[in-house]
Amino acid sequence: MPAVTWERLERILPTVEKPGRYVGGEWNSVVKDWGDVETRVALCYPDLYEIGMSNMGLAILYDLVNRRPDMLAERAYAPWPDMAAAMRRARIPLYSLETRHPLAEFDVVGFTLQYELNYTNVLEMLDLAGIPLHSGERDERWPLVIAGGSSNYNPEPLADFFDLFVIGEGEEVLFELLELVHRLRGSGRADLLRAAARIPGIYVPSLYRVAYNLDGTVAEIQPAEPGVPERVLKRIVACLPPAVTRPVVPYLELVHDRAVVEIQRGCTEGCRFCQAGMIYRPVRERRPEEVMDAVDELLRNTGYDEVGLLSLASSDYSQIEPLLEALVARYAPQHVAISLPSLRVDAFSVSLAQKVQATRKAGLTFAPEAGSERLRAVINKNVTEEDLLQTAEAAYSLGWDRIKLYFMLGLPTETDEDVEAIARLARRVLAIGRQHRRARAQLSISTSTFVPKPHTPFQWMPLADLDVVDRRQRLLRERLRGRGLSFSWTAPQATLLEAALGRGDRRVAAVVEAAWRKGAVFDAWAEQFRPELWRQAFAEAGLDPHFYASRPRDLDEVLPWAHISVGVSIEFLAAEYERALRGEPTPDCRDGCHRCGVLQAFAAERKAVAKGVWECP
Amino acid sequence: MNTQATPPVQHLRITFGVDGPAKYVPHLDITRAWVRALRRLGLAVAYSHGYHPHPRVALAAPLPVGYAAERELLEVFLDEPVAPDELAARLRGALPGGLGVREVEAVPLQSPPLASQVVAAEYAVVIPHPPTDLQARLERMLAAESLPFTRMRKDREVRFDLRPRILQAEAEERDGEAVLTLRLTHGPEGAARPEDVLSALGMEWGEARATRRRLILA
Repeated sequence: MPAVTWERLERILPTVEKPGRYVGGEWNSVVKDWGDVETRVALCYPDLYEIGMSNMGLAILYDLVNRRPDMLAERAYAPWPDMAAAMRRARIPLYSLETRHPLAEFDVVGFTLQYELNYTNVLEMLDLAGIPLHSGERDERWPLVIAGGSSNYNPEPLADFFDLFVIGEGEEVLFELLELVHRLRGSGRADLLRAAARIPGIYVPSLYRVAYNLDGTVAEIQPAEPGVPERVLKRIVACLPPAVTRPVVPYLELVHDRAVVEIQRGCTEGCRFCQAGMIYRPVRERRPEEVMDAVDELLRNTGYDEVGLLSLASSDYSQIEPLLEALVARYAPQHVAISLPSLRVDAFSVSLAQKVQATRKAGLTFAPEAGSERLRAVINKNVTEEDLLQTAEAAYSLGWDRIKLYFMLGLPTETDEDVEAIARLARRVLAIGRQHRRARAQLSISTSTFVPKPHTPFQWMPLADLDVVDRRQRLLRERLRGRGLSFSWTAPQATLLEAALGRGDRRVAAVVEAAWRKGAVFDAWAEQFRPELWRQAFAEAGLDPHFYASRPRDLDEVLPWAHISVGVSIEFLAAEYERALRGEPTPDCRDGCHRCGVLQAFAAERKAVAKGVWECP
Repeated sequence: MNTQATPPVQHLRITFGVDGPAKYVPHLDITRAWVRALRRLGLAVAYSHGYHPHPRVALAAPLPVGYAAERELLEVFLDEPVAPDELAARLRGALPGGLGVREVEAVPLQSPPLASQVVAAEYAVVIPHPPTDLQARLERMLAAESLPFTRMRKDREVRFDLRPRILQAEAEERDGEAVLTLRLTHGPEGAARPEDVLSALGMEWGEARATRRRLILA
């Protein structure tokens, strides 16, 4: 199939909402001649352009692949239903934004999976591209369809559709795979998959057999042939890759519309609910001088007037204070704002925010996650009430009018008392605000529903009863009425689905496919989400979403992702689970190693870098 | 943040074309694309003062999504002066897909905002399958004393007389297509759009392609 011509595309663009999503042409997008390269990769995000363009992982891979003279990477996103319908009517296949080649023309079509509620969009994109959905239906004439990303750590619910999954950080392993694809061009798909399965970090689901017990739990997951590893350990890079300093600058406004420098990967705090905190271990920092140089290049190459420093915990970056001072001194006169996500709840973090928001105090967000000391010990969010009150004191006294606090409902062991504690805390914080800001003091409380995730100490926990969560939400709304207070929550309607897909096994693939065939797409978008389609899809497959979402699991149950390892041992996760139930916190691992297993798993990678790069004692 | 109160030192007017991908970009995003392009070149774009400083870069008139344009206008205030010709040369090859610089000129610092100066705009609309009696329809429309017209704006109907807003309308046919050249009023006293004229001619927009040829200043 030739590239989609601009003339054909222009016939449908005027008929759809926000056509700018589908045209490319952005500054720094890389358009290469297809004849000049040997291997071509489509990098796909299964959600709208505005969401997918903010993804750092794809930006890194786009940059790395396009630096290679023998390869190219182009982008594709999920078209909104109006565009998908227009494309089907006009028989325009899903195409890449750079050269408008149909996805089927690429050697490799790679998706990043960040969220379970995007899964139907993967099928929608493959179908729009005219690519057979099932791995088993694709021979070597079709692109190799692969996935990476954080939802990938339980690949099973999409095992039927992907030829292989890249587990972990893709910066090195992607090239090992692309070189293999190039070398084995012309040989059969089965041979390619067999060879790929030997690359550390690559999981080829078709080379594994899953057996089930009579009660529906997994009995065992075994390689189907010799040479296939029993467990796939995620890949990591010893050092952070060079910062992306020539990112695509979108025409359209994004969700996060700014230059971004990754300053740190991984997190040491060990919150038990947090998947990112477990799967991105170990912590690796980028040196401050490197950050400064990267910011400089980024601003010159993009023209942005805002830079975000990306990490899971900004306050934990060892040089955060001098780094911020240097950035502000250099860039404030050029009207460049610095944004700092994920601040720890402490006065130090307020002093950091003070550095970057000296004149424009737009509001500060903190995440105590739970209202009571008891529950925070359960989830290992090591923040005391005193910390929080001091943080509020610091923020309001320095001139912020508005603080936002973020909590989760439905956490393990939660009772009404823990929810009442959120309301009490809110009143105390607002009272501090009133002392300093009088009637201008504002406090926003925002809640979401906790969903247990694979590879965390809470992977064995049931999703909370959603009726109880709903009642607690209403309770909180009652308690949080009043001047200066506002309360917002994310509607839990898709929570059950997210929880079921997140911890689903291979049989759930049939459910995803059936739901998509009935018309489910963009399930993460409230206006598109149609729970009845999913109810039917589960029923037809003879499966119950509550079996996956709401069932407490025994510690010795074989989990559907048991053959995937992030380097954190099952013994560590189980010990953390038990400490949680006893209400015992585990300190930050900067204060002492808890032997999670990451150091042993990645001893070779650690040896490859200078001492001190990993702040993992 | 910069809190200095020194006023900008230079006021520039940039004439540019819109084509390809840029046709599908809403005007606020086009403005932002310009700000970024100017900042990439290291220009000291002036910022407004106050709580939310914003760059002093503004379009003369928003271009409807889907339209091409030959000579759109943008004004820019700078804190450090540049040579306009040199800037024009540097902007070539420094803009995202579909934006093209035509010329850059310096204008007096105190000249009124461009947006307040636009009184009319000239369009060319290519109609792939024109009705056979297009000329007759055009003559009838232009001969009318008034053309009562209703446009939906958000959920509200706006009624106005379209006729005085059509300053000029001509059609030329070639290769089975018609090219409608329109000069329509613009600005606070009332603007008309090519869609309105087509609808007054009893035609659907369909696969018509529009180009704004130029903006006419007072």
